[in-house]
Amino acid sequence: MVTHLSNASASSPGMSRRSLLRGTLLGALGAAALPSLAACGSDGGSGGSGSTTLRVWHWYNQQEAQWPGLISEYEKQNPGVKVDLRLFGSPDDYSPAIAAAIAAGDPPEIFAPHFSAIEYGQQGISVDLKDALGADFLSQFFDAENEQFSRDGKQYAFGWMAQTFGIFYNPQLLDRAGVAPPETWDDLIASADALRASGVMPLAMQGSPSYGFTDFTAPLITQATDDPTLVLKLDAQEDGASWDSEPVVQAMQKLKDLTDAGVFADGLLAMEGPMAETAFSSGQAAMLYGGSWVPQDLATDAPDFAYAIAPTPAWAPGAKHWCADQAGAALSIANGDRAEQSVDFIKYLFEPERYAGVMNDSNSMPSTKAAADLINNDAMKTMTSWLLEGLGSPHILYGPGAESGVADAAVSVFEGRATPAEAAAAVQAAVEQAGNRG
Amino acid sequence: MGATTSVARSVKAPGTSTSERSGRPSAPLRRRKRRSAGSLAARALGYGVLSALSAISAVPLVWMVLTSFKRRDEVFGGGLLPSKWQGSAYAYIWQELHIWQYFLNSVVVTALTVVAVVVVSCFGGYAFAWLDIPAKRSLYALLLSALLIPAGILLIPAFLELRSFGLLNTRTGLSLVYIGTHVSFAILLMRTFFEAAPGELREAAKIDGAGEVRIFRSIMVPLTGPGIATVAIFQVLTTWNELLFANAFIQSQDRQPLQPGLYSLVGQHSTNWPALTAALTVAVAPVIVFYVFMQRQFVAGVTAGSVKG
Amino acid sequence: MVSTAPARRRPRARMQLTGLVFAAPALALFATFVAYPLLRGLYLSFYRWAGYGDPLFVGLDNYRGLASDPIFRRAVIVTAVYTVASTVLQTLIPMAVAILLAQRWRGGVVFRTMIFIPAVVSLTVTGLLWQLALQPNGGFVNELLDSAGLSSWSMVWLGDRNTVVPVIIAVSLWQSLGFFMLIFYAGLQNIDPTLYESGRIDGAGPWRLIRFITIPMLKPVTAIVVTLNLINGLKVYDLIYALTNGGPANSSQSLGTYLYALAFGSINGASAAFGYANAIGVIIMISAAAVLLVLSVLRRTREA
Repeated sequence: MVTHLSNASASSPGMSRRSLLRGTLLGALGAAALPSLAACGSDGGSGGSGSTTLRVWHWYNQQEAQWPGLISEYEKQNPGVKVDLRLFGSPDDYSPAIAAAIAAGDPPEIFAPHFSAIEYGQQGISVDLKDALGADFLSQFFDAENEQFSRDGKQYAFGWMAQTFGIFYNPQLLDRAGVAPPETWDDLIASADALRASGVMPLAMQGSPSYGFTDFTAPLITQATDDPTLVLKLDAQEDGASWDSEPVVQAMQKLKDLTDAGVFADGLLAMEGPMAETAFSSGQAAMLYGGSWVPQDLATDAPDFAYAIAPTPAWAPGAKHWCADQAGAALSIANGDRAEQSVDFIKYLFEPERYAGVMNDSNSMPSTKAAADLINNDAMKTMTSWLLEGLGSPHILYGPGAESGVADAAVSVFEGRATPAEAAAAVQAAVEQAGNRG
Repeated sequence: MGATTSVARSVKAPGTSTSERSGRPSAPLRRRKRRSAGSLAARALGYGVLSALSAISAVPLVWMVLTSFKRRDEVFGGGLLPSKWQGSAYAYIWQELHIWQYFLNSVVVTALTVVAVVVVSCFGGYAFAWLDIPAKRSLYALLLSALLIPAGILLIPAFLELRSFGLLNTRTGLSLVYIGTHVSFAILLMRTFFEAAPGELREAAKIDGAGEVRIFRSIMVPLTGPGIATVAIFQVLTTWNELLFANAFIQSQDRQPLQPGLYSLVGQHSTNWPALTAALTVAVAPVIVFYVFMQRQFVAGVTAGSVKG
Repeated sequence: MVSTAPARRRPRARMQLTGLVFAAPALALFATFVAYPLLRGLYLSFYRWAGYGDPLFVGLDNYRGLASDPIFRRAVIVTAVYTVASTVLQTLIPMAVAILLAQRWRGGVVFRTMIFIPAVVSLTVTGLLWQLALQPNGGFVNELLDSAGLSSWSMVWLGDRNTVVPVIIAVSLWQSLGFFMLIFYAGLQNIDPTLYESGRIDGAGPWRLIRFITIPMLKPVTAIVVTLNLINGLKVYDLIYALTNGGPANSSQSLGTYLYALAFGSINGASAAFGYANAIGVIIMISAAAVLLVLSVLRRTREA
C-alpha cells in the first residue's frame, strides 16, 4: 500500500478532487432538501376551503389528446373545482398505485376499477351507481356493460369505452391467395394452406401475455352453445357450471383444429399485441384477431395501410358470430364526500354531443348506444354495429384463477401438450386451486 | 484476514523496493520489453473481445437513441436509421409530458438519497469493520436481512407507514424509504472496503493519540475513495431507476420522478416508441455522465505515480 | 510528543459507544423503513387479505396452499435454475472481464463505459428493449441470424417454454455484466502492486499471477458478488415480468413474479391475494437467509 501512504500524508490532486466532489454533493443535498421539506405533508383530495379536487386515475390513453380540453372546459364551468387527471400507461403501472391508495382508504375520486369493480363496490369503496347516477343515466349504456358490473341489484361501475373483437383482414393478400374473408372457422381452416402457399401467415393475434388466448377462447365457448350467459356462470362457478364440461372441451377442440391447420402466425406465444398489429400492417400476416383499439393504433402506426373488418368467424354457416364484447374501459366513483362532485363531472362527460365528439375524434369505441349511432369512422362503425345487433359475448373473466387458467389451458392445447379434454379439466382444477389462495 | 498480513509483509519505505532489488528503473510493470508474436496475438484478441463486448452492450441503446428520432410508423420494419431525423418526439415529451419536471424530481430524490446513503454507510461500514458494537455480529446479520426482502412485500406496509408520518406524496418520504432499504447494501460494500484498508495505519494513528473520529475522518475515509465512489454509483443507479415505490408513493404528477413518468408511455395495446425512447435517452444520459465522472474519481485515488497491478 | 494511553487501555464501553453512534443512523433507518414494514408483511402471510377491508386469519392455510400449487412448484424450479446459472455466469464472466480490462488498453475507459452502459438502464427497460429484439418475426436477433445465414437458429425465444428461461438468463447477464465488472474492477485497484512485483521477480508469468495473486486477493469481493447474485436470483422479478410476464402459460414464472402477480396482477381475478403473496415472500426470504448461512459457514470453515 505504498501509494496510499503517500496520498494520506500529502494533499495530492486526488484528495482535493474528492473534497470537491463531496462539497458539490453536500451542496446539492442542501439545495435539494429545502424544497422537498417544504413540500412535506400535503396530500391530494380537497384543496383549500371552497375548492375541491377531483382525482381521476386510469390508463385509457386513447383519448389522451382530448382530456386536457375536457378538463379545462369543466373547470371553467365550475370555478373552485380542480380535476387532477393521472394517466397511467397500462394496468401494469396502474395496479400497484391503486392498490396502495385503496389500502390506505383514500382512493381517487374517479378511478378505473380493473378486475375488482364488484369487490370494491361490495366493500363500500365505490358507490352504487344506480343511486349515484340513476337508472335513467345508466340505461344509455349497452346492457352487457351494465350487467358486467352489477351484482344483487346494484351497479358499481360504468363503461367508458365498449370493446368488441373481430377479424381485421388485408383484402389484397386474401385476393392474391384466392381466398374470401372467413365466415366460419371452417372457412378459415380451409384457407390456411392457400395463404401460406402465397407466402403469408394466415392469422396473427396477441399470444403474449397469455391472456390473449383467453380473449380468443371465451367467445368460442359462447359460440359452442349459443348461450352468452354460460361464460358468466363458469366464471362465477354458479349453477353447477364447471369448466370441465362439454362446451369448454368443444371450444378447446376448435382451438386445436385451428392450430393443426396452421392458421396461427408463427411465434404466436411470443407475439405481443403491438407486434401482432405490426405483423398485420407490414403484410406478414393476412389477418389479425384484435379488438376495437386496433383501428386507432393502425391510424397512428400505419396510416397508409388499407384493411377491412369482419366479425369473428362463426361456429357454423348462419350461426351468430358472438364477437367478444364488454366494457373494455370502466370507471367507478369512490365513496366519500366528493362523490357528488364526481357524479356531476361524469354527467358532464356524457353529455351526448360532448361524449360522441370525444369518441369520434379519438377513433374510440363508445359505450353508449346514442354515441354509437353517431360514429363516423368506418372501422369503428362496423365494430360498433355488432354491439347494436347484439352479437356480443363475454371475454373478461373475473373469478380467481379463471383468466390464467383458461389461458394456460389454451396454450397447452396450442403447444400440443394437452388434449382438449385434459385442457378443460385443467381449467377447472386451476380455478379450484385458486380458491385456496388468500 | 489473509489480505492484511501479506500486505504487511510487503510494505516497505516508499521507493525502495524495485530499484534496489533488481537494479532496473521502476518501469510500469505491464509494459513488456520483448514483444513476441504470441503476446501481440494476445493483445489483438483482447481488443477483439473487449470490442465485441462493448458492441453487444451498446447496440440496444444505440437502437433506442435512433428510434427516438423516427416517425411512429417507421419504428418497426423501417430500417435501422430514421428516414428523416425528427425531433418531434423530444418536443412532445418536453411540452406534453413535462419531462423536465419529472427529471428535476428524480434529481432531487436521487441527490438526497445518495448523499444520505454515502454518509450513513461510511459511518456504519466503518463501525462494523473496525469498531466495537454490542452484539455486532447479530446486528450486522439483521442489517443484511434487508437485502433478502422482495420489494412487493414492502410496498403496501411502507405506503401505509409513510401515510401515517404524513410523508406520502412527498419526495422526502420516497427518499427515506430508499435510504432505509438501501443502506444495508451500502454498508456491506463500505465494510469490505474499510476492511481491506491496512490496519497498521489505524494502529499507528491510535498510538499517536488520535480519537476515533479523527482516525475515521483523516485516515480511513480518504483510503476508501474507490469504495465511496462505488457506493455512490450504485446508489445513483438504483434510485434513478426505481419504479415500484416511486409509482405508488408519489401520487401527483407534478412530483413524479422520471421512471413512473416514462412508464405512462408504455401502453396496454400500443406504445409511442419514439416518445418513449426519447424519454429513455433523456433518462439515461445523466447517469452515464455521472458514471464517467465517478470513474475518474476512484481511479484518481490510485494514481500519483503508482505502479498498477 | 505527549503519548496518551494506548488504545487497548481505553474503556471498552467508550469504544462501544462510538461504534453504536456510528452505526445508529443506519440501524434507525433500517428499523423504521425496513423492519417495521417487513414485520407487517410477515404477519399478513397468515391472513387472507385482498388489499381492503379486514384481513381474515387463516393460519398456515396459505403455506399449505402453496405446497399443492403447481404454479408455485414451477416457480421454485425456475427460480432455482435462474439463481444458480446467473450466479455462476454473473460472477465468473465479470471477473474475467475486469481482470482483462485492468491490463493497459488504449481507450480502456471507453471499453469500461460501454460495457457498463447496460447496467445504467433499469431492468424494466431492459426487458422492454430485449422483448422487442427477441420478437420471432422481425425482431433484431432473428433478423441478424437470418442475415448471417443461421436461420435455423432463429427461434421463438420468449414463446417457447424450452428456451424462455435460458434466454432470460442471457438477458440478465447482458444487463449486469458491467455492474459486477465494476465491483471487481474496484476490488482490483485495492490489490497491492508490490505483490505482483514480487511474483514477477520470482518468475511467474501472467496466468500464474492471475491464478495465485489476483484471484485469491479478490476473495472478499468475489464473496460479495456471489452473495448479491444469489440474493438477486432468489428475488428476481422485474426483468422476468418485463420480458415475459411469467409466460408463456406460467412457464417462466419465478417466485418473485408470482408474488407480484398475486398481489398486483390479475392472476387471482377480482381479488388480490396479498396473504398468499406474502407467504411466498416469506419463503423467498427464508431461502435467501438459508443460502447466506450456508455461505458464511463455508467461508468460516475455509478460513479455519
